[in-house]
Amino acid sequence: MNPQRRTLFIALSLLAIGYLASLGYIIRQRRAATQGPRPAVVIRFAHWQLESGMREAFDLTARRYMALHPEVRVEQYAIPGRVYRQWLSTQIAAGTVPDLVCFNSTDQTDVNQLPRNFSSITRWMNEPNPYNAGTRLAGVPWRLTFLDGGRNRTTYLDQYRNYYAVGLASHSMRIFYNRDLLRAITGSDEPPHDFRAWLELGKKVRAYRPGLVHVAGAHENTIWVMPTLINQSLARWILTGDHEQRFAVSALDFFCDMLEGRWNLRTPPMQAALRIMQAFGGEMTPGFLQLDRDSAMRAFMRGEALSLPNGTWDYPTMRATAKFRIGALRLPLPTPDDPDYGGYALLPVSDGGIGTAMPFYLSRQSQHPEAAIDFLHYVTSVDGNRLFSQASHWMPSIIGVEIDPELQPFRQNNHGYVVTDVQNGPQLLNGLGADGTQLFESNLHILYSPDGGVEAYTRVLERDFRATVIRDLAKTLHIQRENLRQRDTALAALQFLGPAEQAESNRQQTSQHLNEIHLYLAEGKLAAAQP
Amino acid sequence: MNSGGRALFCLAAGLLAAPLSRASDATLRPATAEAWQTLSVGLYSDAFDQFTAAGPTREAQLGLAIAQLNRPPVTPASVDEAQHALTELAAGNDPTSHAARYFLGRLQQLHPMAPDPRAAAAEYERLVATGADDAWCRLALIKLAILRLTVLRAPGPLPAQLAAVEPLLARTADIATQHDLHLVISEARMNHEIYDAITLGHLQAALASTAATDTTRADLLIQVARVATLLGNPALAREHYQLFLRDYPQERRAFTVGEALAHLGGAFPP
Repeated sequence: MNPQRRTLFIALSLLAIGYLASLGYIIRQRRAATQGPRPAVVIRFAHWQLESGMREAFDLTARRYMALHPEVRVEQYAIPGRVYRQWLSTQIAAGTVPDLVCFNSTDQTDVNQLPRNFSSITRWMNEPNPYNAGTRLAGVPWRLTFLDGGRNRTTYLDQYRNYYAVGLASHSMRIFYNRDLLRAITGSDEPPHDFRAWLELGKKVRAYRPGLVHVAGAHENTIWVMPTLINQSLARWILTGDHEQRFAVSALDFFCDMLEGRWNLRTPPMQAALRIMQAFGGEMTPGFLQLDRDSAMRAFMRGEALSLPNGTWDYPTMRATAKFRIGALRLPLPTPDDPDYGGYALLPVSDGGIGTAMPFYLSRQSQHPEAAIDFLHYVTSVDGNRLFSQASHWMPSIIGVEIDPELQPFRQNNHGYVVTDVQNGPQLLNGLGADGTQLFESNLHILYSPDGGVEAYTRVLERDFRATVIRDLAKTLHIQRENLRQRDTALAALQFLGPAEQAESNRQQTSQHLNEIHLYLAEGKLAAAQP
Repeated sequence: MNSGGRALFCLAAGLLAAPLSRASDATLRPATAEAWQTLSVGLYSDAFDQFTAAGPTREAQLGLAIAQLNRPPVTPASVDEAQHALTELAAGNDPTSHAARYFLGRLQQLHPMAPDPRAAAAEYERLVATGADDAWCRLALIKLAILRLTVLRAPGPLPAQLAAVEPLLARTADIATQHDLHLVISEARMNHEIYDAITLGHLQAALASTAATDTTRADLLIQVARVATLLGNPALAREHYQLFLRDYPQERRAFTVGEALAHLGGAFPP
């Protein structure tokens, strides 16, 4: 045998051994899984929550459920987030979708497709959850046992006027910090609560150890931290755009005001906003715009940064990995008398409204919809949700389920002002649409470069700001017009069905009329703004 | 049976099961109702097929034309085809013709290529002129009001332009339609920052005919209270803020409303 053939033979042999070993492993696993009496019903559920402890929490909940129902086997499919959509599409096409699927998308095309693949669960939502018998939620319709009445963007699809999912947990956004490091730096566990004091802490952090960073920054963090911080810091000024007197300013209101000449980038509150951005960014890892979420997380976990802006969904992972105690603070806002940053906030500020997370949908392909719903009933009962919350270290979604003392700092705080519209609030520094976001983000480096700053950033932005707002507004209104057209069809169709559907159509027509008049009023302002 | 045979059997059974299951579903409700149901969840192509299969009734023809308006790909030719079908159906004076005429108006107003609000208003006016009190004539009245409040305003100064829409209220006795008219008129007035007694009157009229479960009720309570405050009527403002806090204690704006109530005598925000 010549050397080339010998190499080929060895390679093929190794491949064959690997194949046989894999085959043997799979057969053994299958045998192990099917040992014991064969269950009459198998319920499969899929999600992408691979954070530390999540799979174990799901397993624990499923085991408790199976102990109550020996005839049912519950199987978990934990699929990495990066391939989840492709995986789900493949399962749908192949007709092998699990009975229950965790899904979340803000893409309207996805939302439009949901009823094609998932069943409405309204009829169950209006009935009590049987697992709440004997608790104070006994007899309460299932939907009303959720912190948000079972109704949020993902669980209740307004355009299909039906409930489609239930949320298993709730979340909040916080700045997590290393308590041990904070104590070492300041002598106290207590973090600062206003923006100026928080900036002062940054100075102490940098002085404490060369290379130590105040905030582990990443591009993804910036996307939510900056707009939220700015919106909260400018709420008093934003409220001046509430022409329709709702205490709920929309992005359309706000940017139409800009087109009408009521404000521009040189308006004092906007300049304060840019100063806040500059100061906040100065506390983050140098070059944070180029960094991703994982590297920020690693820097925080290695003690290279004092804090990390993040959602509570990552808390279990941080908790499992950290070799220090973790604390959490809300975004620090400027005090009213702060000469550089203050004067435009409305304090105290709200987190913005209670909502549940991790929505699970019932697949239309499910062979056992009643059993699948029964499992969801269990996970969202007082007992089941407590078990899941305690095991996962995610906050509960059910009324009356105690938040673990460890999770108390993350509890959503709604005792404060919020003046932006629930679905369509202005994101000042994201602009009205994609072009605005790109304008702000692609030039952000100017704000942070040594020879840049607020004035240089303003000069660059204002060249294209008005044209960008006009482009984004035109696109937004075009999409709204398309939505109106499609809703018209759906609402007309309901008129040809029974009295209940007709009543629902009439009810939804009211919001259709309001959307329509707002569209025309904004189009009028857009037309007036165009050269 | 070997595994290949089993797979083939399953495949065949699956292929047979799908039409059988559709057939058994179809026996549950009339074919046209099934098609409207499909259309109501935005499955335009499926609904189009179902209306086609339902036969050449006027209702099915109407459904076909409405589905055609959204069935991808939406092209000038497909829109023209729908328009032609709607025009033919609109020739009568029954609810189906009224629905067809309403959708002719909607097609003109929200046309994907060349919207023509003036032509849309003309269709709505024809419907309103029939004096019929069906769902389509009521909707036409509100759409006409929206156009006259925005792109087809009457001549004269802004208050006169907006006031010119008020007579439409007398064209219907239907409470829900009047409610929606009050609502769109008050929205237009407030968007133009006209916070006067007329605006307050429209807001109060809309609120009076709003059901407790309506999503607009929370907004209306705040709007009445805030406009009343601006007009120097703190008693009315207090009453509506208190109603809001009683009925929506968990609402995201509850804190703000509580603070507004606490500062009724002075500036707000404090």
